[in-house]
Amino acid sequence: MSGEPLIELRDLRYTYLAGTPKASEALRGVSLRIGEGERVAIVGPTRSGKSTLVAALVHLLRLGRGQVFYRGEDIAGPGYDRAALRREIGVVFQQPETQIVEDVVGADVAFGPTAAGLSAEETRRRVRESLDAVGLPYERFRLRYVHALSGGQRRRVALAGVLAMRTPVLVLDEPAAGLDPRGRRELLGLLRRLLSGRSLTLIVCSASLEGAALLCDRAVVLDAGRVVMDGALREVLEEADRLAALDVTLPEAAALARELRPVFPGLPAGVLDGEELEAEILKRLGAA
Amino acid sequence: MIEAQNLSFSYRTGEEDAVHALRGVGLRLEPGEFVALIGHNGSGKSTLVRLLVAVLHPTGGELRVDGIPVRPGNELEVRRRISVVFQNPDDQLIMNRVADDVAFGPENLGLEREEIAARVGFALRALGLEEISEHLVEELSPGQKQRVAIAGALAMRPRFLVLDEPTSLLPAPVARRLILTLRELNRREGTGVIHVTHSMSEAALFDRVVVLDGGRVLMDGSPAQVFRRSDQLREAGLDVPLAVELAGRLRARGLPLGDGVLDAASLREALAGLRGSRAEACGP
Repeated sequence: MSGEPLIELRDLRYTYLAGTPKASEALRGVSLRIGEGERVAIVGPTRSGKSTLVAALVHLLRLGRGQVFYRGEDIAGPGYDRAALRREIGVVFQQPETQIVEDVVGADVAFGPTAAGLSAEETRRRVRESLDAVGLPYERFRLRYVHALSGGQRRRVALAGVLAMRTPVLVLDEPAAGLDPRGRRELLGLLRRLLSGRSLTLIVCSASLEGAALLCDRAVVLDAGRVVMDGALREVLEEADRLAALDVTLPEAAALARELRPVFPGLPAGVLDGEELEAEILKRLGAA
Repeated sequence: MIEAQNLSFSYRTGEEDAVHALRGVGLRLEPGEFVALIGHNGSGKSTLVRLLVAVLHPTGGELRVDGIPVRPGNELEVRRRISVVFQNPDDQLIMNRVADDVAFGPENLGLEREEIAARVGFALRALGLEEISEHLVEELSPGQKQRVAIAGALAMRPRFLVLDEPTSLLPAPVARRLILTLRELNRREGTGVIHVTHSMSEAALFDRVVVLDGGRVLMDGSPAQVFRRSDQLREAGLDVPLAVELAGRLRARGLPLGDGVLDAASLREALAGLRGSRAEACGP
């Protein structure tokens, strides 16, 4: 990464219910730099601090200690325009069905742009573009009731609502959790297509590297509120045992590679699909 | 025993937009079976689960639980034999403390105090929750919460536990441990388990796999028998475990792997055998 990072987290600390007997430390000093256009997976088990980190990033909670810089500016600083920050970082929360505010699909996607003061014409353009992009064609879906959609479709509506804000940074918190294999494949395929044409900076939070591995090229691993690994995705996957001990779901190929290591010592776990794993195995069998 | 004969169910029966969720399902589950029920969304899995606990009643054919037909009036008799656990434990946990939540069902059966204590103790032990029995439910991890929900269902001492996608919100290693706990319970106590899942690698851990597609039973057999039909599984929108797929690819390249590969462990064994024989052939 060269020059100034787009996002810099400096020693983030946060304790829920601080000062009470139920106090629990969610972040214990997280520092992280994310450059423009990076695709970063933030993974870790339940309560490792992922969601708290997202909340801190968009200033939904007041940090105990530490600072968040966006384009070099402290977002908690006096006079910082936090409304403008919302137009920079779009967040699709876990179970985004819950962030849908309108009954009708088109109206929900239009909510953000309208609230941001965009013209009716510009809003309509963005609603069309976003719904088309998430595979819910505008003409067919704009007047549909949200409650009559499937879970996977609702998730896409929520995603479209965030895309319509055209933020340069997109944060996805557990984008595929709870979807069936077909729904997950469709959503991840869609996200990949979406990303391929844009210079978005992407942050994916998940307890699973399965989907994140398809979208990201860097992985940051959190455990108990601290960064315990940070590197290129394949390098992090190589530490498959450590990830498994943290209850992080590995991509299926990496998980299988890990289980085959007793037969093929040194078999790389940094494989992203069955074909790569097959090639590695054939190489080793050929050498035997 | 659970017996379904030509079992059908339609939502909005008789109306133009009726949805035929089950279209003539035949199924027989003996006491103590350890079964995975799989299918993609819309295959009829959840409808079958709702029928099994008499939340819905058949619109055609018959469903019997220990000989008792699932129909209006028999709900309590059916539910005495089958307990259900849903996808999200937050929908099902009621009390604040773990032990109180597990006791909730037996208390509502009006059982004696000692019997309640015995059942709660049994269920907590079976799910490995003794050490956190006094904890607050809200402070638990999702995996622990799911265990509490299952313990609550188990405390009803059902013949069958029906688990409706209990692992879909859990990380894979946590899900796997949960299933191994259920296996243990099944072996020791003979409690029948019907586990609804999307995950083929989970299904590999069961004795029997029933695949639903379009409201019908598409396959019913051991994991090995089911995984052999990988093309059909893919057509039904399901994944084959990568270990099985990889074994198929390696076989296609002429490697004699046999067709017993179901999961990572059996693939590892098959590959180890192959490697050993090659090393021998080459000599020192």
